[in-house]
Amino acid sequence: MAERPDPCNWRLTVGPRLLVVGAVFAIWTVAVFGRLVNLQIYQHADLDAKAESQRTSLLEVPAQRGDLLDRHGKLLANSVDVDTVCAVPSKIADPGKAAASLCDALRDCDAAERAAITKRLERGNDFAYVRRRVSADQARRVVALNLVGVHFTKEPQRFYPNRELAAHVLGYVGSENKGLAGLEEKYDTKLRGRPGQMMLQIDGRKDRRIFNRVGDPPVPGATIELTIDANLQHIAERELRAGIEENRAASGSVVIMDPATGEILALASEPTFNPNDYALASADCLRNRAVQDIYEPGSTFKIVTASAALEEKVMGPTDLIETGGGTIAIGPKRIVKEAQGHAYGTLSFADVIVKSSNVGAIKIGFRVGAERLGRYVASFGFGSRLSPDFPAENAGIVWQPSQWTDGALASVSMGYQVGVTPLQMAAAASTVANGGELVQPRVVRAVIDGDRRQPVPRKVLRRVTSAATAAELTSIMEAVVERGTGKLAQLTDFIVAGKTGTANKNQDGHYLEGAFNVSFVGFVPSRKPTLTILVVIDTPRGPNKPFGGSVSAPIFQRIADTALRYLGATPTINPVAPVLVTRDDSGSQVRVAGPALPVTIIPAANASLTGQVVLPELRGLSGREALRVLARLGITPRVSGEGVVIEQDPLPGTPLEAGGACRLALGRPTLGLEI
Amino acid sequence: MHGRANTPTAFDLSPALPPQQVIAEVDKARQLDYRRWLLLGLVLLAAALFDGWQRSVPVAQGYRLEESQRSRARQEARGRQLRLEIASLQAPALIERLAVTKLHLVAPGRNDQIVIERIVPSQQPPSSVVASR
Repeated sequence: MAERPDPCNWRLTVGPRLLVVGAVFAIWTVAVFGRLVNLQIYQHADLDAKAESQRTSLLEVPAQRGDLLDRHGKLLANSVDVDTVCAVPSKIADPGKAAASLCDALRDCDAAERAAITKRLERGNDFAYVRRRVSADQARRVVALNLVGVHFTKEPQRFYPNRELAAHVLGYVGSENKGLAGLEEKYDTKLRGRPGQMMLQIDGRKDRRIFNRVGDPPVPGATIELTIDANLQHIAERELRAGIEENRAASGSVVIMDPATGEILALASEPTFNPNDYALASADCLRNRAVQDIYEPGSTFKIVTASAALEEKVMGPTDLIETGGGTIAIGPKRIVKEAQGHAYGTLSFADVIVKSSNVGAIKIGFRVGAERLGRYVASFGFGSRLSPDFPAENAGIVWQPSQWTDGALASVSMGYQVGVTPLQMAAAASTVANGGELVQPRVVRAVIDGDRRQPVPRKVLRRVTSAATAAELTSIMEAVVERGTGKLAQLTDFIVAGKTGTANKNQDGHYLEGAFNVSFVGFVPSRKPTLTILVVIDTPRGPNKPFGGSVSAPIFQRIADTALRYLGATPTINPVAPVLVTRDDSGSQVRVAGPALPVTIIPAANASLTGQVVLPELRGLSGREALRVLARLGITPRVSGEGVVIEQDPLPGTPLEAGGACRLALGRPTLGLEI
Repeated sequence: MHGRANTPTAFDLSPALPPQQVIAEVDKARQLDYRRWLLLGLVLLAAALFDGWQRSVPVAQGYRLEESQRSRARQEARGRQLRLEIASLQAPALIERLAVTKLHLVAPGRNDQIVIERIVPSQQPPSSVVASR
C-alpha cells in the first residue's frame, strides 16, 4: 500500500499551487512582454504617427501685410485681424432657422444672402463660411445667439483710414489678401510678407490647450513709405472736386510733383472711390485718370515745341513770327485758326507762347521740323511709361516722326495728334522747372523691411534741354501767367510759371462738338520751384468758359496757394522782413518780438522737400526708439552707452542732409535728473 | 490528544535540550549591503522623480509661454486697431469737416500767420533766436 501524503505537510499542498500561480504569472508576463514588443517595435511607426497627429497640428500662420505710410509717416493703409463667421453645417439641426437668426444678427443681410447662407448650411458638411470679415458689433451679436455649430476665425482685413484719400495711388486688396490695384498690386510681393508654419502641440484635455508651438514664424510684409503728402493730397482732392462741381465737369485729375526729385506729392483723380468698399465703386471711379487716361494736351504741349526751337537754336525768344489774320492753311484742305478767332498779327516767339497762338506754334514747329520735334517729344518722356510705380500706366500715343505729314507736324506743334497722360505732362513741365533734366516720377520714397529702411534714390532719366533753355522757357511761362492766358493762376506772394491748354475732346477718332479737355500746368515759385502742379479737367460745362485759363488755372491757383502756405515756402514777391523770436523754455508759448499784430506761427514744415530732414527731439527716447526714428529719416546713428538718449548731436531742429550722421549718448537716468 | 502526545512533530521542542542563549550578533557586512541597496533605491527614486519633474516643467512652461504669446498677439492686434483708429481720427478730411462745421473755424488769411524758417539751436544764444525769411 502506497504511502499517502501527509495532509498536515503544507509544503505538499502549497507547492503545486505556487507552481500554477507562477506559471500563470509567467504566461501573463510573457503575454505583456509580447504585447509590448508588438506595440513598441512592430507597431511603433504607426502608433507614433497616430500619437503625433493627435498631439500636434500644423498651422499656416499668415504674415501681417505691410503698412503704407505717407512721407511723414502718417498711416494710409494697414491690416487688422477681424472676425469671420464660420459654421459646421453637420452640427446644425435646423439650417433655415439658424440662417434666419444669423441674418438677423448681421442686420445688413438681404434675401439673396439669407438664401445663400441657408443653402450652405443645408449641405451638412463640416465647414462653411457664413460671412467673412464682419464688424465687431456684428460679431458680438452673433456670439450672443450662442448657436451650436457656429464659430469664428480671424482673418486679416485691409483698412484705409483716410477713406478716399489717395485711393487711386494706394489701390485695394482682395478677399484673399492679394493686391488688386495701385501700389497694393505693384508691391504685393513685398507687402504680403512670407507666411509661417507652426507646429502646435496640444494636450489631451477636453479643451485641448496648446502647450507648445515650434516652427517657422511668419515674416511680416515690408512697410512702404510713399512720397505722397497726405495733407497736400487732401488739398489737391478738395480743390479738384470743388473745381469739377463748379464747372459741372465730367472728371479731372491733379498731379503735384517735386520737380527736383520727381517725387509725386499728390495724385488725385475724380470721380474717386473708397478703397474700403471698392466693390461698390464703378469701373469709371476705379480708374486712375492721372496715369491711365490719355488726352490731347493742346497748348500745354507748346512748351515742348518751344523747348525744341530754343534748344536747337532755330529761334530765339525775341524772334518775330507773322501770325497774320489768325489762320494758316495746312495743305490744300485744312485751315487752322486761332482760338476764339483772335488775330494777333506779328508776335515775338515768346508772345506766341504767352498768347498761345496756334498759328505761331505751327510755324515754330515747321521751323524745327518733324525729325527734331519728334526727338524732343520722345525725349520729354511722351510715348513711354515713366514711372516704375504704376502697373497700369499708359504710355500714351506718339506717332513715329517719319510718318508725320505736314498736317501731323502742325497738329503736334500745338498739342494735337499726341496722346499723353497727366503724369507725363507734369513730368515734362518739371523738366523745364528743374533746369532741363527729365527726372523719373515716383511715388515710393522708401521700403522699410524690418529695421532696415531702403530709400528709393532720385533717378534722372536724361537731360532734355540745357539749363539756359529751361531758364528762357521759364521766363516765357512766367509771362503766360503775368500777362497771357494764365492770369487766373497768379498768386499774391509767389511768381508762377505756367501754361494753359485747351483741346477738343477726341472720342473714337472724332472730335466732339463743345467738349474740351482743359488744363493748366505750372511750377511755383518759378525760379526755385517747390511744386509742379498740373490740373486737367474733362468737359467743363460752365459757368466758366471752357478754357484752361478760366477753368483749370483758378484750380491751380487755389491748390498752389494753400500748398505753399502749408509748406511754409518763402514768398518771392515782397518777402517779409526777418522776425525775432524769443525762446521761452518755461512753456510751449513762443513769444514774438516782431510785428505787433497777433500772429500764428507755423513751422516751415517741409524741409525734406529740399532734400534735408530736420532732426527731431530724441532725448528721452529709448535707444531702440531713437534708432527707429533716425532710420525712418535716413540718418545714420552713432550710438554710445546704453539706456535712454540723454544727449544728441546735432541738437533737435537742426536740418541735416539725408544720410547724415547723428551722435546719440545713451545712459540710465538717475533720480533728480530731468531728461 | 493522547495520540498527539505520543507522536512528536517536527515542531516539538525536546525538553531534553537546554534553552539556547540568544546572542544578538550584528552582521555589519549585511547592514552595509542593506544600506547600499537602500541608497541605490533612493537614487533611482530621485532620478525617476527628477525625470518626471523635468518632463513636466517644459510642459508647464509651454502653457505659460503659449499664454504669453497669445497675450502678446492680442496686444499687438489691439495696438494695430488703435493705430488705425488714430489714423482715422487724424484724416485731413475729417479734421477739416469738424473744424468747419462743428467749431466754425475758418482758414487763416494771408496776414494772420507768419512762417518762421527753421533755425539751428546750437548756433543761437541761449535766450533768443533770429529767424530770417
